[in-house]
Amino acid sequence: MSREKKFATYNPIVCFVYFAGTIVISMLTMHPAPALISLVMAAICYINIHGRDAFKLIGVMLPICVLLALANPVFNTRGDTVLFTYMGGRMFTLEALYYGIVLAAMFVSVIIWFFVYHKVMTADKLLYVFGGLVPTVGLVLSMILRLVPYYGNHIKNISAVRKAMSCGSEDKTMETANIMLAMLSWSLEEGIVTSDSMKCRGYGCGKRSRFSVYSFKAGDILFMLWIIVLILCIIMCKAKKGLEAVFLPHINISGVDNGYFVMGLVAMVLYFSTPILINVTEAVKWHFLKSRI
Amino acid sequence: MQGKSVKRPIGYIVMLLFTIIVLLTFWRLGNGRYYLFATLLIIGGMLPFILGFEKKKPQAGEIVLVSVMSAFAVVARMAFSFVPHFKPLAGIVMITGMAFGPTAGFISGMLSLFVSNLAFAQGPWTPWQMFAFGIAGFVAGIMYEKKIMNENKRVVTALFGFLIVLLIVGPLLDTSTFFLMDGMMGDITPWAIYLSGLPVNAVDGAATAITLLILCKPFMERINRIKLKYDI
Repeated sequence: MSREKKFATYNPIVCFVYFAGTIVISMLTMHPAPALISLVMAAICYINIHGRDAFKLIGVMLPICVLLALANPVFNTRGDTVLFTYMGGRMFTLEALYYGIVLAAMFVSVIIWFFVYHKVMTADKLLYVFGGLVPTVGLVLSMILRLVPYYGNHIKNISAVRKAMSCGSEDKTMETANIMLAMLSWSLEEGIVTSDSMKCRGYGCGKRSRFSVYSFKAGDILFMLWIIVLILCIIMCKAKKGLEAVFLPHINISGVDNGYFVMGLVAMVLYFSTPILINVTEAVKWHFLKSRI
Repeated sequence: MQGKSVKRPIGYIVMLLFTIIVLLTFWRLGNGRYYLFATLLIIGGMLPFILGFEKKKPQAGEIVLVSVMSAFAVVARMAFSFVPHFKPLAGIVMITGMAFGPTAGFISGMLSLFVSNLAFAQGPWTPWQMFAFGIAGFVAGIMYEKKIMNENKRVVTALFGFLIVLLIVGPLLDTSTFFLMDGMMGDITPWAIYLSGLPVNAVDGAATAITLLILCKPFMERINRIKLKYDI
């Protein structure tokens, strides 16, 4: 599974736009059908990208989803259809339960999309996306990303040396604080060496250039167009009230009789399943190429 | 300091434009779910600081030292993770703000939170945390300039560190929780969320106060020595 999935090899800017769109769309549509599609697609996508480990997260998320759905009617008693009453007449209504299910699906789907985002958008890709807009902050970020594992190793070294010289303290908290102080002096000195080196190589004089391994290929442009077209389609359907849903006090949801609803739904299914479509097409292509060889 | 008054407004203009675009979008498309709206505004709120830092064209030394302190804050959070409820991140971010100025403090808080979230989990709350910890560094920097927080006044510094976490960082994160839970638990009031968050914020504030009490003086001494030695 070490080979990167096809979706992750697209230009990071395109991937970032895709994820931003996914999260915004999931959060803005309070309609049961899109919420469910988003949830299912997020789960499938995460399983596809993360493999078997994905079930751990989904196993945690499912009970949360059910709990949130059931919690809403407990706090919210509005709604016309009373399912049952409890605690001396407090109502548990169908509408509130329905609303809770949609909210929970939306909430959990956004969380799972964030995990997918976390898997695909690694630190170097984020640097590529933001490094061009804010070069100095990007530089600071890239330095932090490099220094954190470096310092982690150094802490281990200091700790080993202190143990070998048996000058370590018994109390773990004090020992860690001492190590941190030693680390600080060392890391500041090291930082000065780095900044001197940067100055000598001419940092700050002239325009900065940057290097990245990513470029815009034909596939990236196609993907970008695909995203833009689908997002515009969804926005149009939303503006035309095709994705309206009112839950309280009674349920009023736009259904299949509304043309804009059908159109918006198709666009959403296509949008949310894009990573899966890309990865599966690639896998199928690979399978056939392999059998021919 | 030169050119500061000219360069600051650019960030605010960008923030204003951003806010207007967000407002217009939500006027047409929002449906009572304000989380996204609020989060976008928070991201807009980070822009003036980021662009301010960008426009200042900081020297190589400042860039490296801010990176070093941020990385240090992240590593410290990991190193002290065996002590329950003790998070030194906010304290170290405040020390950075005091040592290198408010804007550097904001950038350091924002980025160290982002990087430490890479190790744990990103989520819809990340921008809020980034903004809250950035503000903590920023306020500490301002306090240092106003000579309220100082390495020689350890108790006062620790007290202000506690107050910053209790009154600024904590409530900001609670606001994020409020918007996230809004609608999910029926009609909850923000006050309920803020009140229930109070004990947690107090514990975090106490951790920050302890960090500042113990580490502020030795840290500032070491940083000042470096500043003096290499003339930054």
